[in-house]
Amino acid sequence: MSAIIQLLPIILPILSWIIERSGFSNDTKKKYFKFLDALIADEASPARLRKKANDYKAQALKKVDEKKNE
Amino acid sequence: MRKPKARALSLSRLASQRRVLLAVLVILFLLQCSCTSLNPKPAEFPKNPATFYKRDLEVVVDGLKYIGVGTLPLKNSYLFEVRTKHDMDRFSFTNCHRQVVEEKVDGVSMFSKTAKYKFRFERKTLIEKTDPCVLEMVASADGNEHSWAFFDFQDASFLLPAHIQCDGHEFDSHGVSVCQSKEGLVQAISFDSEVESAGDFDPPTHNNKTFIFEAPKGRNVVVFCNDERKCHRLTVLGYEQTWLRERSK
Repeated sequence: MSAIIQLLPIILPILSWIIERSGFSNDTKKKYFKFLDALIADEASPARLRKKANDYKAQALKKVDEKKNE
Repeated sequence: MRKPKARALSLSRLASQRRVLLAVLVILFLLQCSCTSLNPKPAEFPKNPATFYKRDLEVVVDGLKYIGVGTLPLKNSYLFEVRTKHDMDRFSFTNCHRQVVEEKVDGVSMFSKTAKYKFRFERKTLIEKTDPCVLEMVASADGNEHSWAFFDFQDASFLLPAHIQCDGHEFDSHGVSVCQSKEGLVQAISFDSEVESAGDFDPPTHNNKTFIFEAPKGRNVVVFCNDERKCHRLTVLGYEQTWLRERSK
């Protein structure tokens, strides 16, 4: 299961590319993209960006401290 | 049997009626054309959320115009005016703390070729006032998202100045910056002193002062800090496509 989740960033763009160019109706495509939107929205949300910025600041400062101690 | 004079009169009246009918049809046709051209719709093809589109919504903030992205000065209150040449019946913004959806927007009409929405944004809570809290905006029409904007704010905990070369522009930034370009294109950020970095990608450098990198796809954050523990936050937006909108139907 976790292997499938790890592969999602590769699988989803390929699947989306195929569906975008397929003969499915616009309604079906819309339903698929709406589902996909909900699936990936959390990953890209401003709240996630806030967490990442704080984590990266801590990591960069840690590198600075390590360099000072060398 | 009708008299020739009466018959000629009837024929002339018929021709006149035909001319009036034709004129009415021409006027109706012209009205139809002008109305459809006044309502430019975004492309109807479903938007693929796996594709990262260019942020190109026109937003005026306290009188200053931004196209799609920007870093705003640290204030408690901002007056935003969103403008789009494409029809808009729904506008929403999301930050780290709240989402606001508004359907009372001034869409494109016979009297205005630009759809507009004006609102005052106040950083009300401590969550919005402290730590990074970016603002993302979306304009939609008929259920289709078609224009986006992304704003970050100056931040008292990120005060390291940097010089940015981004998408044909060169500017100085005081602690927080946003750079949008087509994914894969080369951008740069430089500092006066040596810095250490951590982020969504590892920008290459030969002297720890100047970092030259290719914009990765999507939203990416990198933080740079110097010996004095001053830091700079750079958000790189690497778009895959510009959303093609239909001017008229």
